[in-house]
Amino acid sequence: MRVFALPIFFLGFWEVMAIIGIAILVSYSLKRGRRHEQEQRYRRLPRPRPPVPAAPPPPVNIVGLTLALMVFPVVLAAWAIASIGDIFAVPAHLFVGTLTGTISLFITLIGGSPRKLWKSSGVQFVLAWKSLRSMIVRLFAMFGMGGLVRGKPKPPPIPASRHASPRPVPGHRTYPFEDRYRIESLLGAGGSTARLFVVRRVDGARPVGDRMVLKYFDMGMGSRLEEVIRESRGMQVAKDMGIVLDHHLDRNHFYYVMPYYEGETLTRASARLHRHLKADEGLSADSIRTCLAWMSELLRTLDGYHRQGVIHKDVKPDNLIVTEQGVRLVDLGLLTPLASALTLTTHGTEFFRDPEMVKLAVQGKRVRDVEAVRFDIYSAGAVMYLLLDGSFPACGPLSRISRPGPMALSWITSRAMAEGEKRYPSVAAMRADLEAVIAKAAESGYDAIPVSALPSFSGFDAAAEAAPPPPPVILRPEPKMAPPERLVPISGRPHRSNSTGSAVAVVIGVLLMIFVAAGAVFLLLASGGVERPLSEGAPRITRDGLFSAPPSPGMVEARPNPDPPPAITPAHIVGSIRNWRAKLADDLLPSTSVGDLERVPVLLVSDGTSGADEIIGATKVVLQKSGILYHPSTTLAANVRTVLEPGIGAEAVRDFLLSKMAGDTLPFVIWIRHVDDQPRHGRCGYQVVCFYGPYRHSIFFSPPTVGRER
Amino acid sequence: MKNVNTEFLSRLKSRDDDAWFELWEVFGPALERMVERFARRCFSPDTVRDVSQETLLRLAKEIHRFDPERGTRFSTWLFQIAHHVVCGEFTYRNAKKRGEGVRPGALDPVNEPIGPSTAPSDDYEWSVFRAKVYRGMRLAGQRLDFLPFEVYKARILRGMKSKDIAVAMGISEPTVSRYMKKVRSTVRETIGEVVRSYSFTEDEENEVARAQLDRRDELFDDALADIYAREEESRQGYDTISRAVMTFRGGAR
Repeated sequence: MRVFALPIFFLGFWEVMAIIGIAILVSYSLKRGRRHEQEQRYRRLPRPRPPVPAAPPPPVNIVGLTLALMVFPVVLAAWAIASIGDIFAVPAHLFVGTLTGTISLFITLIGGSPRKLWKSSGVQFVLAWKSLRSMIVRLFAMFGMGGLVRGKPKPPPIPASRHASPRPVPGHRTYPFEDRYRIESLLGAGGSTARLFVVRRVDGARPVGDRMVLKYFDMGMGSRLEEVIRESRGMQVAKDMGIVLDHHLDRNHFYYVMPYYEGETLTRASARLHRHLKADEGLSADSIRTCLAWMSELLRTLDGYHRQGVIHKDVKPDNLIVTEQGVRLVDLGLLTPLASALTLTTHGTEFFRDPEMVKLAVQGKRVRDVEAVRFDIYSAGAVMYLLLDGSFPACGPLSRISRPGPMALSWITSRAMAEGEKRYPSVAAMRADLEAVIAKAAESGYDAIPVSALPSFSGFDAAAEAAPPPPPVILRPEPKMAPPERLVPISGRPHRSNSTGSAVAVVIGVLLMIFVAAGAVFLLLASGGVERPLSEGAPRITRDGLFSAPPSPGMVEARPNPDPPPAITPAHIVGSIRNWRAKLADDLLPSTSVGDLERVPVLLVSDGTSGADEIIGATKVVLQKSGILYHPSTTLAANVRTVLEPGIGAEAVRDFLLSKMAGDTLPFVIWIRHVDDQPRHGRCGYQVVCFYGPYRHSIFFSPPTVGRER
Repeated sequence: MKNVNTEFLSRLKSRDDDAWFELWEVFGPALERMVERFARRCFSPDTVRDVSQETLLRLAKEIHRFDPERGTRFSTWLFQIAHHVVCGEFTYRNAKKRGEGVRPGALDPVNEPIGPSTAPSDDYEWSVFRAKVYRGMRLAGQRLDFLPFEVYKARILRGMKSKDIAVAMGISEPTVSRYMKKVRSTVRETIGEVVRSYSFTEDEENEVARAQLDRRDELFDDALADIYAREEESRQGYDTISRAVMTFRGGAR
């Protein structure tokens, strides 16, 4: 207590009160500055253009001016009362701005770089100007001359919530996910038209839980259907693996949520490793150990992907985040199921994309017809090349590691990037070699490991059997995903500290301690006491709720029927097609006759189950006998199936067909899918869904009886 | 004039997808570097790739008009088309700046004579030849076993001594020598094969001798190592822009 009493003893009561007053002003100014920056960040988020406001009022209101002049002192007093906040705010902001500016100047003069302080000083001056301007505008407005000084109309004000994150305002268009997630910041866009946000879940009015990354596609803002289809292909697998936490798909929007990892990209981490090396100097043993640890984690992650039946297809240093927990692979934009019937695409990143993949894509190969895991292996080799060499593998499979280093690592890199059968057949084989190097290096050092000691040198089969199985991929995100504030120190090298800067910081800290203490008292008073806990009845999103998949919007689920539906037969399907045509011609497309619709071919699409395939085979025979046209392309049917699987609606199917069949007649799509929903709706059988243009019709059938009608 | 191998040209004319892919693989990097040089760093890496692909599209349209009997190099012809595409892109951009936004009319590169401003430099022709050698080395890597080719790469491209290679690989020195001989022979064959495939004039075929790739053993290795080093340097030099862009994008995360 004596410490706090000392100022009173030396300074006297009024001086202390003045200091407290200044401290209050400073804390108020700083708080307002922080809020201002937050609002600016929020306003920078991409949003559709707001509606054009109504025409502004006339610049001078003659009647108002006359009345105000008649009661001039009253108006002036009213203005002073209304502007009391701004009257205090202007000198407060000027004072704090000058103070921080002076400190910044001082630090700059002694060699520091106080960017944040300079910025803070600038913000204070801006706020002072805003307060002054609002006072002037208010004065003119009271005299009916607001139009003379009022600039262009502002967007609606953003309410300042006590709970940090700014919220969208009514009338301002919000993203469809903002009822579930609160936007914290915007991440840099990748190669797609999607937008990436850092979000947190909202529970009631406040954000809860860890930060997450939300990737958002909006058809109205430039996203294309093909992108949505591509990104949604491996969504279910990704959810099962815990790398996608939630997703939503409707007619115009698609988004999914992934864990957020705080850290730096492997590109930067690698650059840091090589920063101080000369051209002919190799990495130190510590650096190599760090690189191998990262590579081992990457390979384990990739192995998990491949075991789940998907490839990442875009493994590159920019998609690898080095966190305190290790290396994390992000960006699921090109996640592709290994069994996908879609044609291989050339998407990927140059230098890290397998040239062989490009060749196969040009040849029009399908993903399931090639050994797609090899593409990830090549990329992993390219990443390893970058770590060891510090540059991009510009010469593809012929790239050489120019820095001196262990031959065994060069061998692993070359073999991962090799062409044809010489490449590692699986990530496990590459990992076995890497683990062998790590194990042997502990005994004899990296340079002493001969290539002949690697498991793959004497043939992969034995090595794969001897290698321990990799641990399974994490099925759910770790309970604590709190981002670390500090980055991983590479190779044990401590961060350089600036002694001058530290000393200045201590001095400033001591000077501002008094201000901060007083400010804290002020804030506590201003905020109405200690933060109130959430009420017990507040709605909460449970983990189960977060993970539960939203219902497929495109599907029409038949209600349970007391009468058992008929067994599915080709005749029933043909009958359904005829009924559907008649309904289309009578009700939905009055300008089209049944005769016109009979010239439209039927495209039969199975859900991939053997039962549905068999039914389709039998139906084609009946269609042929009945003289009904059907589309013979199995490729198109397979492509449509991949669109239908995520549960996209009829319009999306039509758009997809339009993109695939330029100039051709769009077919009726008959999708036959097996439904086993015994526990929930007590039904099991086949659903026949007919699509034509934006229309859709669904009929449910029982499974076929033993004596099938052919 | 010598009767040149026109099989590759025939494949291009018959719209063989593999041939076009080969064309892109061989000439693509040299083409991109040339476009980048034309554009004097005005184009982003993405635009450079777009313009390069546009060049190949133009080439696809005009390929039936290329006649090697006239004595024009294929690479020179490609150069001329690329030059026109780049000029077209500049014209388009200027038109866009003026608010017209209209792509200029199609140019017919074949009918226009090569002027001093549009004549390809020796650097360009040399880079095309290096690309052919690179292709030949890749072909050898595909045909040979992995271990011998790695030994050869370590010796030639990384400059390691035979003894060190033997220790690092865990094999004997005579094995290293045997592998070197075998790989050298294959590389020589594949380079010759590639140069014959992608060259349509006698002058182009003589480039092998000018690059000293017709010499024996160590001299061949030295010449090859030199070509590889220059090719690598050239590719990494061009990649600087891409790297900067990629680093910038990565930093935005």
